[in-house]
Amino acid sequence: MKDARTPELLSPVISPVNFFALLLVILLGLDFLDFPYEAAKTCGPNGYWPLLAAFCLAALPLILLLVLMRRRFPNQNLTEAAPQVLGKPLGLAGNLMFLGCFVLWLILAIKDSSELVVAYFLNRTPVWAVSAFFLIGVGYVAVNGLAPALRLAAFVLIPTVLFRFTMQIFALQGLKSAYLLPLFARPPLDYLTGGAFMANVFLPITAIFLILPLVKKNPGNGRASELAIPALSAAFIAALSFLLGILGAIGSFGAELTPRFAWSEFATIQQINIPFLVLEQVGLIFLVIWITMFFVAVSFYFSVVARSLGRQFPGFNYRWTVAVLVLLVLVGTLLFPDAITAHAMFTLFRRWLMLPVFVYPWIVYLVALLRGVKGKFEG
Amino acid sequence: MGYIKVNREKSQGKKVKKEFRFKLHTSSFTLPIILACLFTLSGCWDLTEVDRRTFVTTIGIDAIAPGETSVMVQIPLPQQMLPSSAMGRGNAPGKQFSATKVTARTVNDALNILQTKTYYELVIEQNKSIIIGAAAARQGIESLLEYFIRNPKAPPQALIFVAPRHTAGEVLTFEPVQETLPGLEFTGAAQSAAKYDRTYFTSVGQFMSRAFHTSTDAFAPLIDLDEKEGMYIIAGLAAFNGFQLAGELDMEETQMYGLLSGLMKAGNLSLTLPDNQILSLRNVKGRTKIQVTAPSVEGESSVEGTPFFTVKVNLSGSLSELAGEHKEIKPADRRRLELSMQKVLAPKIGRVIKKLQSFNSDIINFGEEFRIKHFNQWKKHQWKDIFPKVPFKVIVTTKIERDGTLR
Repeated sequence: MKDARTPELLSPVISPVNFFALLLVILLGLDFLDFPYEAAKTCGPNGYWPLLAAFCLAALPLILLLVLMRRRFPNQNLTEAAPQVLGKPLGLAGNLMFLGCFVLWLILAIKDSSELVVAYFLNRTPVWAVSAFFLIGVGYVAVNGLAPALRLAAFVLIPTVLFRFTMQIFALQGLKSAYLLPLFARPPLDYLTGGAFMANVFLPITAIFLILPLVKKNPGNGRASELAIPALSAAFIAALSFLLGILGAIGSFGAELTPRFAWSEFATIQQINIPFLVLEQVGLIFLVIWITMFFVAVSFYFSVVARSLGRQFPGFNYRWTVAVLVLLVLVGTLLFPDAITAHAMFTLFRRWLMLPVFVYPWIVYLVALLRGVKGKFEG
Repeated sequence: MGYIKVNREKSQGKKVKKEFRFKLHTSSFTLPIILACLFTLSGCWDLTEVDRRTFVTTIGIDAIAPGETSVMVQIPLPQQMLPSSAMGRGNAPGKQFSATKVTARTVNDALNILQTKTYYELVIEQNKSIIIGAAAARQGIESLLEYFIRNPKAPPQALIFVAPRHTAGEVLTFEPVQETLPGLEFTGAAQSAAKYDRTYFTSVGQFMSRAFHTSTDAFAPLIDLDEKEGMYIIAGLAAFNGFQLAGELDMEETQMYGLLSGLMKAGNLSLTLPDNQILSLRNVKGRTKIQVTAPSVEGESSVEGTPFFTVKVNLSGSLSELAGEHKEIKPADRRRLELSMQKVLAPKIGRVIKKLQSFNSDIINFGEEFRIKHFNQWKKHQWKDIFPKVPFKVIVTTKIERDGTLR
């Protein structure tokens, strides 16, 4: 018995609009609500400059590389192109490393988000239960292929982005501009270091390398602008939201207090104090919105990782791969002894995990360029 | 998950082999999701029914002895808040809250012990205010507030008060003649712009951010009791040096501070002018510009190596009373009154700055201005060492915008 829907659901054509929705949702869903930590820690009151540096260091080069890869390998994604460029053993090792980084990222992200939920709202619920129920939901979406995650991203985009921005703007009510001044209080190297440490906020862009050939207006098309414009727009809007988060956190708490919070962006939202508001604290709504985006992002990650593993190992059944990944990630989250270790590790990994995920696609592209390897165009 | 039969035809064509393979269906995830919902939607772990909760609206903290903290919580009695007729208890007014006290090593410890004194679960999510006794505030409140900033259940919007002449416990057990729930009334006052006149409210989050910041200090409103009249008096300001209470500003000084800091947005001000005329203004707004001259600039800095501050206070308001003057106010009169006000206000504001310097409490943001304008110079100094002796001058400009219904 063959599930006829599977190929379409697994490799759907992603229109530029849908691509924009997906990228924006995963960028905002995987921000983990504490990026002002790195900003304040490395650049103090000037925490907004590292974001600009991160945008220039990570987002722009990655989007450029997306376009370049699309031109060179119009019908192949990164994991398909790598063995052709680097040779089978090296390509396989590189792909496994690349996908392994995503799995590690998922383990840390789900652990961290579960801790956030437990810390703020369900403090008697065991963290394993939060992680497990969340992962079951993710598995339910991911097991049906890439299409459900895409549809979900398009469906939640407008309300979630609107609410997120509204709340972030409200959170500026406690902003003291003096806390953000002087404009240049640190040596330029600090801004670059901060930018490098914050580059991980744009890491979701790297997942697009795994679905690159699917992004096109119509089957058969595939111009670079169909990729670049939505990607740039999504990255820019996400960067605006991150900027509001940084301004809100450092502007409200100051550069000294901001790094003390485990989830400083969320702490800023919790400060919102509007008289006669129906809800006394809007933190819960913000968290629901963020978790919705996070859920879509994680579902997408599971889907693309399982899909890419299936391409590496043709014997792998997609659905079983998703199930095994869900189990693997769940076990991974349960291995952490406590929230303190998990949070410290997450902070550390987020700084350095960006490096292999960022460098690998560049290596593949540059080697392809040097060796003159090109993908086949299937008009 | 299902155990399904697959027919596979071999390349040789004729021989058909039947084999079995596990296939994962979407339903494999559906069942766990339904089960998860059954367990979680009813809130099996974190369920606490509303009627099993005891809501804390105000928390009072006093220092008893080193390492001993007295914590009192004010708990509303909802049945007493209903109209008398609804409760069938005639017109007899009842106390709308109860107060429970416990002494322990820390705030958290005390709140845990308080759980043993209540039948229901004590929840602090609705806490509106924290009142700290002056003795505890003088010892330093960093460790007392740590609980409120670390605990995700504690609302960061809760207001902080300092009780200078009574213990926090006395304030919490005080029964005002107005049958109200004090915790809620404090919040109501803080939401009214007109109340930012003789005191300035601050939340736990705002207090912590100022106290943590290297170039500012925190403040909190003072709360006192008028036992004769049965009223709360929320007036004056507690100025902190770091996390320690350094001194107090009285009502008038607090007004000057409001003008100086720009916190007064719709205040009322009465001044005795040099010719003994009493002038009152309403809707008074203060806007201040602090200019810093770097230490290296010669001339203005009277103390070696310290910056010089020029404080330009711009006050505007509408005339609400001019006792003793019964003639028509012409533009020249208005100008005369404005100049008289300037003469009175400048020394008053100067005295407030001097007083804050004597407390070593920079709630006027001198340090912040110095840090922003001369960052490199600021880094060379320990701001707390130089703030008490920094020279300054005050320039006041006033404007009477309206003269009311009389000419």
